[in-house]
Amino acid sequence: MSEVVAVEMAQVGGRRGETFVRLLRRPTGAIAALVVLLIVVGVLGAPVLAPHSPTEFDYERLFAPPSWAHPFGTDELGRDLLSRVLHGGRTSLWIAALATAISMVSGAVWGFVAAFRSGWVGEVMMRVVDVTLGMPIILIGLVLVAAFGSSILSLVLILGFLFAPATARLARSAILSELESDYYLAATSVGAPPWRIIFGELLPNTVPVLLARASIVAAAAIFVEASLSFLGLGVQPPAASWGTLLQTGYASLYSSYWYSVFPGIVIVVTVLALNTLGNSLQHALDPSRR
Amino acid sequence: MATYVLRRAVTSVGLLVLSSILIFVVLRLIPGDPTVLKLGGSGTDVDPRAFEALRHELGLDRSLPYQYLHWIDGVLHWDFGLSYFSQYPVTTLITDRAGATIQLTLVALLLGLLIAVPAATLGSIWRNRVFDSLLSGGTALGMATPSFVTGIVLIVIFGVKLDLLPTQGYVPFGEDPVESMKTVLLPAITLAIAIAAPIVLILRSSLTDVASAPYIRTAQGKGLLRRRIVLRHLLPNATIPTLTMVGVIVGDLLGGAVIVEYVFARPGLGSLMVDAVYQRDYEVLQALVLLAAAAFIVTSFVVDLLYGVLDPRLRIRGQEA
Amino acid sequence: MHRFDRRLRVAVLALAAGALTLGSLGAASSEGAISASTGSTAAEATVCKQQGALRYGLAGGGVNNLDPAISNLANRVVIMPLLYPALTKLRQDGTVVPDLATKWRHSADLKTWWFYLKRNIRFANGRPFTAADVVANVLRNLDPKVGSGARRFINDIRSVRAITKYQVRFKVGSPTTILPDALYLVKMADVSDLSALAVRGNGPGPYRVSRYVPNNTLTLVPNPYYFGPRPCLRSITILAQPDTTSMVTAFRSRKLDMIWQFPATAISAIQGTRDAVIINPKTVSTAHVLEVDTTSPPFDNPAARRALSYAMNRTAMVRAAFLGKAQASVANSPISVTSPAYNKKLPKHTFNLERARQLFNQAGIRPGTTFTYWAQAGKRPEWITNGQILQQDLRKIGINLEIEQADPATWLAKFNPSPKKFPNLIVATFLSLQPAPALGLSSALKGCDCNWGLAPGTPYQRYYSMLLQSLGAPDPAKRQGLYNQLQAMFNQESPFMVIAHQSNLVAAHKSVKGTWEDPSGNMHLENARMEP
Repeated sequence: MSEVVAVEMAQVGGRRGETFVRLLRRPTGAIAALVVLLIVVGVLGAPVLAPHSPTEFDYERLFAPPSWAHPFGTDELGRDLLSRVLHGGRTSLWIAALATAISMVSGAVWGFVAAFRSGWVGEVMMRVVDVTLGMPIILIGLVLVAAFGSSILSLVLILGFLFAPATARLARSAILSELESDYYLAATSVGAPPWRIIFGELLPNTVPVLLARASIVAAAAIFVEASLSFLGLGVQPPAASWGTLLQTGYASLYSSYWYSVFPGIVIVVTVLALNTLGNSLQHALDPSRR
Repeated sequence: MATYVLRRAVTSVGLLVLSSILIFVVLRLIPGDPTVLKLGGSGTDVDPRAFEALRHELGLDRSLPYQYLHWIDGVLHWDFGLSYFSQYPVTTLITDRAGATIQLTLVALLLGLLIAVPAATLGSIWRNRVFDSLLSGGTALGMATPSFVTGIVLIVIFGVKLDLLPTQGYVPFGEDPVESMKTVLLPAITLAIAIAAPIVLILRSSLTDVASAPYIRTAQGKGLLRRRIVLRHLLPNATIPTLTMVGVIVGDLLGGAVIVEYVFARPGLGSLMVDAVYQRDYEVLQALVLLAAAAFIVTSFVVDLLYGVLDPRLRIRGQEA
Repeated sequence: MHRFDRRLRVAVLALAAGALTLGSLGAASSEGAISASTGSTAAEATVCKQQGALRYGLAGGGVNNLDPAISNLANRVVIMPLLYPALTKLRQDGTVVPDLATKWRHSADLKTWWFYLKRNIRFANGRPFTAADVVANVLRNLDPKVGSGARRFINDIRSVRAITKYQVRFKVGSPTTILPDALYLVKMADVSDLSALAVRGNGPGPYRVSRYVPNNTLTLVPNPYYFGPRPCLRSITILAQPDTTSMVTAFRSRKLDMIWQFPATAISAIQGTRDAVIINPKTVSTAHVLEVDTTSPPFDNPAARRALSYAMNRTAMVRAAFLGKAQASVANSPISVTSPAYNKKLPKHTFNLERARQLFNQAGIRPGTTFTYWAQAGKRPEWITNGQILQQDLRKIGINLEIEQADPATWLAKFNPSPKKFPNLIVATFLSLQPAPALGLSSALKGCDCNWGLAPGTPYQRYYSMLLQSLGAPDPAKRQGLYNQLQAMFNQESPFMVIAHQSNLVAAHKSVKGTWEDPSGNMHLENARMEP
């Protein structure tokens, strides 16, 4: 999956408020937003919504098929899978949210600085970004997790670091576009102080673009976390994420086919919704594309 | 133009050196070194002298800069060292396994294009809302599903239930073309699904971009058939921006190949990478990552050049930047 | 004298050879089952039609090294009988017979031995195999820098010399009756060109290497120069599988003809596969254990170790992790409860958290302490299940257990090589055991089968001498008495925790015949044949 695609697709422009109105006018955008909201609410409300405790063993009912008592079935220790998926979502989304935050902030700062520092400094900064963009993310992720372990903290930091470069590139081109816009030229010719322009006008205008990007990064974070978990390098028990549930389900494939089905579906739906949301935001930001 | 090329070449080389240092250092940070796994793997009480001897032989007891220079020296002589485990020359390991990855990526790229290009252009020709939504939905789904999930589903359906195709391994094309293609088909489809989506997206966006260009409207005004416009005017012009994405697609292919080769037990460079990480096989890993970095740097350099050739405007802007 | 020489020989060989193939990496060879054969094994003398291509699947790492002297993942042991025979070999019943040697004799003082080689042996590349090669291989295995696992059992050899082209003389430091048995562990390869060995593997065995992709595929074809009966397969391909699920999938879809060590969770799926046969030996080969560092606090205190043993809910673990297909070691004995040598009078370490709490207290381990459960990533889900059970139970008495998984290299590096200290770590691993009780009991000894165990200066000495006595005792009743005492000591000291014993699960297509497992744990495919 290439988040760099999203970078190239982003069109900068439009004021903040309009963006969201335009987003909601498109049906896909609205549906995506709704799905994301549902997932977030469901996951955050896990302690209340989950029918059972996610850590309660039941040796009588190992690998039980879906039933009314256990809509998703049970796992290798008899724990209710629906509850596990809900609680696991907290881990997955929490990791994704933190990683997104880290990558957005660090990427944006990097990109902005590179944009303002024209000349060879800016050039070098972007070249570094370019190199890291080309490397297979999964490989870097593998090496880093092998180096720094797979605790939640290291996963968050590693994922944040993996997605920062593309954000940097996006942030830089966003700023550069703004620098060419009429209102900026007008403001500078009038003699407004640079600080006011940067923080009052430029940065706020890049926020929608970055928000769109954030949605895509969140999707990618969930995606990569699932891949790392599949290779056995995800979070450790008793914590579970959708990725580790999928991996354990796959390892138990011959005990219960459905064990991996539900975490798999949940991952796909969440990533799909976040991606669609991000794309719709980007579409909404681009007036020429309607 | 010449200064542009020269500058890009110099920065590319610099980046290559930087990447090599980075990967070298990061690997040495990882706990555990290959001697333990190699000698201690049986768990028997191995003489500590054996470990020291091995570390000395592998040069692991020297200082980091020394080890780095030693490695670079080898690289410049096209000698990437020996794999710690198999004592296999790394260059042989890579060349042995490159075939599997190259075949996989080529077939996947072909299949991906076969899916993506018609999908994107038909969308432009037909302008059908339903088709458009289906296409968007399909590509979105393709991007949202992790490749190992797709792979496993395909294995279960085509390998187990229907028992139509091999689910693992690699047969060189020269040895048995039919079997070779049968073996590469499932992994290639898996990878193709993963990369087709981004290609469709880019193609479509460039197509719609170009579609609003003045010369297209002129063609429409002239009364040309839509199909003709798309194929003769839109598509060729849309592919130029797509060039930028070539580097990205290549990166996607190589990255996706890692997981796909692992799932399908295919002896390619991707699964070599995974094994090397697990076993801390530094020599192999260094060589592979250097290769990947070099491939990307070279590709983006070439693409930049091509861009400069194809679009004169960029040459000027590039000099200004 | 002769009679218990033989017993001694078998037992010590069991000790020696089994120790070589430890499963601490989690991918060990299986052993034990003499009954684990598919079809008749009198293939020594048969002339068979060379047909069939056997595809053999392994999960958890493939063959990644062709040098038989380098200790490595036990996955490799399957290639030894195929590529690299030794001077002697093991029969299915555990007796040692000539292989590359024709006969041997020794001096009266048992300190000099002469081995006579067969004359028509050639390596796979055609080069004749002579006494000089024997000397080269033995010296290489004796070299501490090479790190051969066989070294420990042959390091009493003071000199080895080629007397003539087909005669080798050994001189040992102290009298021995079991040199032929020990030499079984010294595999013969062509060490004159080590880089070629690494790439092409050159040995005098019935098969030779035709295609090798390290850690992925190894294809063997019959060695045209082999001196013995012609092998019955046209090829054997050993295929590494990324994980047990894909191994089972490949077997079910007939991409593999034989798979080794599949998980209990796949039993019903394989039983439902057409033409599949599960080879489930009655004798038990694997002990799932938890290891601790007995030389540093807190687990240098036997009370702490016993506490841990009482905190392990073995019945739940067997139920959940092994689906009931294992025997819980309720009295923490390295000998399986189904073995005739099992001491039935041992005090049971029945799951009792209160007792565990008392013992932890006694050992000075207060609530709030944290231990780390250390397992391998991705390869052994059963251990993670066990870890979670232990984690929950320990939490009830206030002890925190953090579960950590790591890739094999990191995993091993944490507690290897000895004498590395790993306090507060509880390592999940398993041991390959043998029916011979002496081996199971010897695993408690430090520096024998593992890097942990009873520290010197403790009951270790008593244990060791009792073990040696049991090896030499001619009277079965006396031997059993010693085994009982040893087990009681182990129960009291608990150098490591035995969770359960389990047999290796091997499955094969019904057309595969002639395979068997020897008491030292090697899977033997050299007599394998495929009959459609």
